[in-house]
Amino acid sequence: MPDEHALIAASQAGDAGALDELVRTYQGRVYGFIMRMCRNVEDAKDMLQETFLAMLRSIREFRSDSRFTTWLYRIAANACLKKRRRGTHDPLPEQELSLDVLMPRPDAEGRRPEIPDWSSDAEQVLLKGELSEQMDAAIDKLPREYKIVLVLRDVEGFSAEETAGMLKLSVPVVKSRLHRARVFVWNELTGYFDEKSAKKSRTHSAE
Amino acid sequence: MADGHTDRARDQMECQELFARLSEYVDGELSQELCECIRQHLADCAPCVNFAATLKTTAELCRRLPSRPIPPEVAAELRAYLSSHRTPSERD
Repeated sequence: MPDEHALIAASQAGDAGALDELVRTYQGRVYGFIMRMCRNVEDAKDMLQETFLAMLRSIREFRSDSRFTTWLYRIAANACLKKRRRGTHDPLPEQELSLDVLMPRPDAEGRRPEIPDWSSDAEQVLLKGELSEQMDAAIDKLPREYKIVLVLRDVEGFSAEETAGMLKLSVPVVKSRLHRARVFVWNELTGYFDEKSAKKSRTHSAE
Repeated sequence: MADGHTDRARDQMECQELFARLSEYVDGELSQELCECIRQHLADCAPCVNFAATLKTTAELCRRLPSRPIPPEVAAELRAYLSSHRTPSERD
């Protein structure tokens, strides 16, 4: 990657070639983020164009005391939150995820809930590529406000502080939404591994 | 923690309390005192050990999701779009 600081400085000074290079450097990563948020190529195209046009027009406002990726993702995140999905209605955009509903609970007799440890199985399934589809499907079911926090924090690797800055939320709100979103995805994955192990034992007992 | 949670946790952390703090725990964002309460609880609670392990794995799996490469035609359209929206002086 070319020296990012030099590229940004040249872009801010009006160097069109540097701006093109900046777009080329980040277009793949931003596209991946936007696609994960909207799952529709036509929508992603619009949001990508909107994001980079906004970058082009406001590059002079970028201050080097923040990370360029964080600044750029803030623009992309806004584009994602503004955009309604094409052809599908956005499921539950504002729905609250309640921990009371998502969390494992003791049974009627007060016994601790059964929670299988599927963490070592995950590695095997991940290698087969099957798990990525399950994860994507689970993430896609999240209400948008939770999904964007999980994607920025856990998929893209931004800190809670950076995510809060991008979404104009407080850090505690980011942490709370992240936890709920993770528990939601965890629930879906636990269901998937339960089903997998039930299938396995049915096959074994049939043999 | 200034919310009184630590006092209760110090006495006895219940599964439900641990569930509520588990992301912060696996992300290393809790105070040492609260981490110790959680470790004490985990020493004696197999379901919570499994919950902690699988919640941590959930976060790690997200990080390892393959990213979708940008199709060449989408990149080409982006270039054309930006070029058509630049003022003549920006195109130089």
